[in-house]
Amino acid sequence: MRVTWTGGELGFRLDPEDEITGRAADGYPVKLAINSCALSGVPDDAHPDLFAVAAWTVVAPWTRRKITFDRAVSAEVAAALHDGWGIEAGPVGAEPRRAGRTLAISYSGGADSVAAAAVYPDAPFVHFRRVSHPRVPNRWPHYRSDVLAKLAERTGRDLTVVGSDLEFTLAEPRPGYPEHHAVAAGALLLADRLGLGGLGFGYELGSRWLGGDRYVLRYTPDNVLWAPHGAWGRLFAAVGVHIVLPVGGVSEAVTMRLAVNSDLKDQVRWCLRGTDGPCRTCGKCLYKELILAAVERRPLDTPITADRPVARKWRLPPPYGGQEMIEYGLARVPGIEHTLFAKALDHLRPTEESTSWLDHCYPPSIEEIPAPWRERAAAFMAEHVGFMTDDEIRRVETWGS
Amino acid sequence: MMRVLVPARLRKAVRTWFDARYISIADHRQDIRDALWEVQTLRREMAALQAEVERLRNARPPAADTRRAGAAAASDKTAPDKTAPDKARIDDTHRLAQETAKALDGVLQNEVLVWQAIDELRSRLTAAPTSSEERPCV
Repeated sequence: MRVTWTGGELGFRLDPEDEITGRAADGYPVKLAINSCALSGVPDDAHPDLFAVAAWTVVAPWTRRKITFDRAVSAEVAAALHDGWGIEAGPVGAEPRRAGRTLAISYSGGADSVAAAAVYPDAPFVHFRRVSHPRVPNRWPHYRSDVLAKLAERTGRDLTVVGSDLEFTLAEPRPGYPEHHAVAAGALLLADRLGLGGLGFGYELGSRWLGGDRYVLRYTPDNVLWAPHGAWGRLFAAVGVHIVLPVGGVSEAVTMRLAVNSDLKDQVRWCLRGTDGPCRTCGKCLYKELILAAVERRPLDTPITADRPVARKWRLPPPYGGQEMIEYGLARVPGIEHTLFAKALDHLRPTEESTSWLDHCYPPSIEEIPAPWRERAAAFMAEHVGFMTDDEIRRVETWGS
Repeated sequence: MMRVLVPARLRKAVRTWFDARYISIADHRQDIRDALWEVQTLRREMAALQAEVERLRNARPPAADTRRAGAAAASDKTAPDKTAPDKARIDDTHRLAQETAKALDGVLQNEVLVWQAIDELRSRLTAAPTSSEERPCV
């Protein structure tokens, strides 16, 4: 793989051993759509390591053996790429970047990132905004990134919006981040300008510790994506932008509760489709409605009926993605046995006791927050959430076994 | 109160004159019938308009998603003739869009592969011994 930056434009060429079908960090096969993308509003004089890691968040799935950058990188970044992925990186020859003092939040506007923002009320936001690619037809116009960017502006926080078409480099399964970390590509290039030492993400207990997303049902202390000692954690640390998960120890029930009670509650939006509000009809809205109904202890309020395609997976047996939250919701939403979740309820039969661990914070998540920001997160969790007991900690560590 | 004896003929004439100023019972009946007819016509027009609104409302989602068009058209028994050509056209447009998009995906991917091949050839040429003076342009 050879990458070239021209200002904020990234171009890349495959080496002979690279192929159109690559693999994301979790092993999932992904197909390349096009070998160019751009980021707007980023400086062209960032540290070469920042350019290198920003490029890596895009090209990693399709790089088999080596990567050649258009400017020399530090030995630290080359080592992180070698140790994490077995990739030869070069040319080497730059001094490493020193970490800044600022923690910024990679802010999407969803409940999880709003909760992460609530932990650090003074942290600036960097918001990734999807824009169309000039050479790839946008077949997904229902994705309203403009609405999300407007909501981010209304938060009143110090905000930098980075527009990018990098999601269109991915052809299959659909446009999206080639690696989850590509959401941070803009923040990485802005790291010198913002004085960044850390970047906070809204990834919560399920994503960090319970193998969320495309992994299901297993305890993942060595999560390759988000653990500080994982490949990505070490690579980000090598460029002085530590990955920080302020809400990595709490479930989506807690992030939901924190979000709807936060100063930013009017700007919370987890739906990518709705304009005046969440669309209420997509799968994500249904999932979040289950959580919100559980948090508010009220019956499910959804126009989605059991015969709709989005409800199909709830007729099938588990495992489900985010299953811990499904169990949490099933145990708490009154009248859930009369909804489209009836089948899932039959399969799982959770109780409030069996899911109460999801109301507290998993302590190791605080320990892995870098020192400059750890105390604040610990105090916040102690005050607003409370920590897990030993029994509850065991629930996390035996999840899926 | 003073009562005056009025001759029957005069009384009848006055009464007839008064009655003439009002609509007859027969005319009243006719008016009521007309009004009723009017109401019924309006009711029919309302029902037709409501059906039209319903039809348009049902017709919109299938335009966005042709997979549902089939089901909607099948259930819309009132106007199968009108929706059928629409559905065919929508299906065709959808198919064409899908095929074009897929074809373009292939073109863009091929472009990446062509560059990969060009770069490989180029690197072979630069790696080759330069004893020969003649080298193709790279």
